[in-house]
Amino acid sequence: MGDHEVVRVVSDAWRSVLDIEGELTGQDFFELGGDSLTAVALVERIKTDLGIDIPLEVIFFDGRLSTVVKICVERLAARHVSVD
Amino acid sequence: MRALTAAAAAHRADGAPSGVRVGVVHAPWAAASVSDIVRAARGWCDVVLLFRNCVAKRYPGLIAMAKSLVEVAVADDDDLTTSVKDLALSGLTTFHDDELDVTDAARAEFGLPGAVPPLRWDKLVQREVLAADGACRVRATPVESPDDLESGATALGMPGVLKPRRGTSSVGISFVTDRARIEREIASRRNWDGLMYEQFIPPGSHPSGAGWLADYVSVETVSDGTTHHHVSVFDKLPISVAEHPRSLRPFDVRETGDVVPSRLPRPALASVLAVATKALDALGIRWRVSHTELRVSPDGIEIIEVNGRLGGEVARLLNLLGGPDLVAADLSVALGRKPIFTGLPPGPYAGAVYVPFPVRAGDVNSDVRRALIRRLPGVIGVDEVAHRGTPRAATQYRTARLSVYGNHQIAFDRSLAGIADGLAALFAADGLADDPWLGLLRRRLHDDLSR
Repeated sequence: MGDHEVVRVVSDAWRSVLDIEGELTGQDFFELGGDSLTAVALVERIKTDLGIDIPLEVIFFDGRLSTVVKICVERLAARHVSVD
Repeated sequence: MRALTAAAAAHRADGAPSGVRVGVVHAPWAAASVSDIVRAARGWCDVVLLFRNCVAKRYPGLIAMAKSLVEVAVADDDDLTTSVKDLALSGLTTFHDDELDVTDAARAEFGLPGAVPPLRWDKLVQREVLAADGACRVRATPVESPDDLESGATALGMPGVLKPRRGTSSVGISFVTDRARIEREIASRRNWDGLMYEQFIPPGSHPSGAGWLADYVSVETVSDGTTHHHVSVFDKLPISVAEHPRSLRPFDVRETGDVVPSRLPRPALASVLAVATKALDALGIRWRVSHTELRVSPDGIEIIEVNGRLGGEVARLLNLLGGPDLVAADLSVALGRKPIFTGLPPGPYAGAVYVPFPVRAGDVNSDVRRALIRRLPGVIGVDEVAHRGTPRAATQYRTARLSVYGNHQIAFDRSLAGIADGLAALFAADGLADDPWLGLLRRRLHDDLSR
């Protein structure tokens, strides 16, 4: 899966969990209206859509979309390497 | 002690220093969420979240989520002392009204900062303590039966307020204005436990002249060992009162919003802060954050109540303005440390708006998504929306709960007017377009803007 596809999947998950529309700005998850429970929902949605686990702490301590995408790309790459 | 995480057990087992440890007695819908607490503590103290057993059983998902982030302990329902003793905490706090008594009891037991004499958050006891110290003029009496209401109204006069001795957000309040209201309460009320009747503080108007602001404010205070630091004052949107004579709950009072910074003129602000200081001194408040509500009436400033924890929307709204982090300040004073404050940057305004349904019963008719509300002017966050087909009670009769920001006063006020108009249209199927309370708020907002 290419990086652009990861951005699309994570962005869709972000919008769905937060029930927001349109372009996602650089604000972090909590600034956009997220809370502890929606953070858990996002982690679960990413697991469903991408098959990877990301730590909840990532969203709590640096919850920008770019950071979450970066973690997802890294974990997907690591999974790909381990499968190989 | 139950359900310690493995990390906590290892800490104690090997005797290694655990850093500065502060316990937070938590439950859902506290003034600070798990994310607020965890982020406020990061880098300088270790948080241990304590849940009473009844809370842990009811919200297992919350416990599981919390365990992935911090140390968690589950304690007995009525007594935290065993848990606190085993956890080697240097401080203890809570952001939830329901957890105040057990938290304060544990603070007192272990000599932790912030302990107060018992029953300080019982509003009747509070009135008595404040009156004894000359910090309030309102008289109050306990009500445990219809006879008590009758005799209380006779002794203290009407109008008066019948309300729970413990409670938040004006829930459970009734205004007793005449004989007919007394009879309605007696006919409809099923539970008379833990009530009080107090004299009604005469209504006033916001000293700024803003017709759409309520006649009461709140003061957010961080008290260390010697000083009460009044960090911010919040204005309020007017309360909404619904009457349903044939309902089991014929009278329903709801708070509707907060605005910061306050528009109180300097003399009124000074008076408000002086009254708040006197009240906090009378109650013996030290080493904690408190939320004091005061009425601005023709007779002067009067205490409505003092809450021994952070106010519900305070931390979020101050954060929006780039103001002081009161969650971090709360953790700090709980540890007996004096926090360092930043002031509020001048210019921007922030608000929380939670307009109630005019009919406090039945199901939601309007189909409104968060995305629609986010399109309203100045809305920067939507925390809650009542969904079509669900009971209105599911959101405590709130249509939505949203955050508003304006980079100056006029921008904020214009946004608020647009939001009020927008909510009236979005929830028209639930009667908001014809709601007298919302209609009056809208008219006053537009009138003030046109001046």
